[in-house]
Amino acid sequence: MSHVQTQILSRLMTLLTGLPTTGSRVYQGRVHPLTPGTMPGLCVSLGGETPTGGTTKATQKEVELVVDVYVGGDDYTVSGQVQVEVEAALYGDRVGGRFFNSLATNLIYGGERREFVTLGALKHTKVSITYKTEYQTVDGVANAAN
Amino acid sequence: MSVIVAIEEAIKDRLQAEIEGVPELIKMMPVLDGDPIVAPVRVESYPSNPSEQLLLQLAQTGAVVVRYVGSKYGSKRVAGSIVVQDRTMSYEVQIFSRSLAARDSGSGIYELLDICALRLIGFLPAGCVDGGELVQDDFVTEVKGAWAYGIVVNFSSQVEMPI
Repeated sequence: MSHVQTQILSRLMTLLTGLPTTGSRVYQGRVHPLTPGTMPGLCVSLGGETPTGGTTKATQKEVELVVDVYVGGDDYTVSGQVQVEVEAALYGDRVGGRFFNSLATNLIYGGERREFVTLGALKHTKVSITYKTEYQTVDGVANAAN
Repeated sequence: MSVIVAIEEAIKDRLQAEIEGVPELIKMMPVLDGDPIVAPVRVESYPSNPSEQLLLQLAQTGAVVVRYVGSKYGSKRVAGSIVVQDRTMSYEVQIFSRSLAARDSGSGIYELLDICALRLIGFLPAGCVDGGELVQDDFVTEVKGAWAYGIVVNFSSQVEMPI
């Protein structure tokens, strides 16, 4: 069994693949192909992780999820629609008060940063959306959420 | 057809369509012992064997000649099952004439330079991802009263391969 972070990332990929606007143009990692055929598209990755509490035998952890939206041109309309679909997909995965196949105990929107990128062949808009999600593991067992 | 040739052909088609519509003033040229005639400014690819004689011939009627200069590549990106590099392709449009300006009663290089610039800025040939960007124009040569100037235009494309 992989690290809980990796399991959450895998679930994130599943949730975000097949959305109406971005379809299968979803890439795991920070690198987007930046071609006309791969936009609008998403890049999905993990940010940093910090401990947020716990007990003497378990640690509460918060890991940052990064969803980068790539859209051709200087765009607000399409990227805004993608943001709507991403948020609906993530919060739609809540079951019994938990997220990501019940791995996580909380999901918090962490903000976005928008930039119009003119370097490179294809001018495009990149919107980086961050979420923070919390999960807990027993100390010494980082591959199983409890 | 290679991408290089396809874009060159697209540039030529674009310029030819424009040249046919330019005012006669720009295309007029003097004729010994006769009235000035409208010079048939031609748009063509750069000759395979350029020579002084050819330069004189091109300048005689006025000519717009397109050639591929080269490409610069961006960094490689690998995402999923695709590897991509940006490619900035440079083309030079050389303009030949015996007159620098139409006021000299010939097919004026200055006017033709302006026409080429206006028609190529933002022009998006098939296979490119961003329209033409003017880089510079400059004097190329002068031989026995035959002048040549060139304007360089960049086109952004990409090289993409599945892996």
